[in-house]
Amino acid sequence: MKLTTKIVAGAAALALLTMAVGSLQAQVTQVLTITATASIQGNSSDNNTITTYASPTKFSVTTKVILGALAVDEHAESNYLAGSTFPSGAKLVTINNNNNTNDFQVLDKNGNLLVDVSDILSFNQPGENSIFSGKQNDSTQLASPSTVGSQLLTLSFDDTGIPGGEGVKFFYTGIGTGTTTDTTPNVNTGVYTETDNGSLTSGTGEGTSQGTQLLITGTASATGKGTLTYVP
Amino acid sequence: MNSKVVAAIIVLALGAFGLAVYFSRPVNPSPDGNASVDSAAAPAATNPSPAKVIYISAPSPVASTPPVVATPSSMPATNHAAYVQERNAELMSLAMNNDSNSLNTIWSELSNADPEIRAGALAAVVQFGDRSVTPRLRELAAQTPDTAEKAEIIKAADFLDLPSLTELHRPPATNAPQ
Repeated sequence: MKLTTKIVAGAAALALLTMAVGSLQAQVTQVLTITATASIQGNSSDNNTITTYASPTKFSVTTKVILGALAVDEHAESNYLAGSTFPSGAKLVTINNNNNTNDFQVLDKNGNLLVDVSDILSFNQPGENSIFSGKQNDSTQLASPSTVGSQLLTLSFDDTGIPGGEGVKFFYTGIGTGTTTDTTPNVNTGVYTETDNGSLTSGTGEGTSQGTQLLITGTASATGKGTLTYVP
Repeated sequence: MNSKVVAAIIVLALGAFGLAVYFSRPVNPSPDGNASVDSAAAPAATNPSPAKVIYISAPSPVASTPPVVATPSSMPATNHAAYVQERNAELMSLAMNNDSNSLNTIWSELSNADPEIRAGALAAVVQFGDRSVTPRLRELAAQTPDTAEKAEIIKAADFLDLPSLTELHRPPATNAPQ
């Protein structure tokens, strides 16, 4: 199937940010990096004549900060029983499913699963348009060697429904651009290597932190490489 | 080590390996009296330039597909891109640690000759999240001649100086406009 036909048909699996259009077998684990800056509503005071609103406070959001919040949240949900912090070296990853969704997981430094956090973190595609380029093998539908795709992408975080959680929710939307590179599958085993790299740039959005409104800008990037098997 | 030096060493090593393989191959007489040449090496017979011998001698990942004849200039570029990607992934992995050795390793790459590695190291410094390094970052920015890179370093320092989401948590503001 031609690349453009696949896009129109919506059959392309959107590997997180990578638009792995041909990777029907692809389940590459990608390490996710989040960087964002938020401005939160400041306090106000009223002396019965003038109401004064304080300047908004800026704060930072990084992958480590997100991991800290996720540990608290998942512990509160009894999904992660080892404590309310993850061990040093824990990493946030996303795994593309074949049904256009992503799983989000926290792995320890050795790659072992600590907890699935897909109930809090998510990606979705709010738009309808996609722009693709590159070469795709008509037979295997794998990148040959690489494809690049862009479309609107939203990163969402919401733990407000978790009693004892951090009480944070936000989303930001930007243009997600991803590159998928595939090697040619081995003729005997079908084994090939896929490299996925993606980024969400200039994301803007909003949310709340413990009920206080905030506006947020941010980026996200994901990178991963996996050895996969092509099954005709 | 300078990545270009690494790339050059890799190319030279591949070349030496390829030549060694080529010259160490026994030339077995075929029944028709000619030296046997496998199909992958056939182009070398028509154009025995050393460069092509090197790449044809390299193992092909897929036996049934024609060998990819990489140009000498494109191969180092590919290797370099892969190296940068791998190194930056390592740095980001280190950024998820909390120990000073990890930070020192990340920091050392801020002086890498490769601007892409330096950029990866700066991103890793941000993710590591140690606010105590911001004065050093500002010093580094002052010593950085490239204006764009200088701006990125200052931006990273400013970001690190911000309170984090978890540090900011406080009771909801009263009388905040809705």
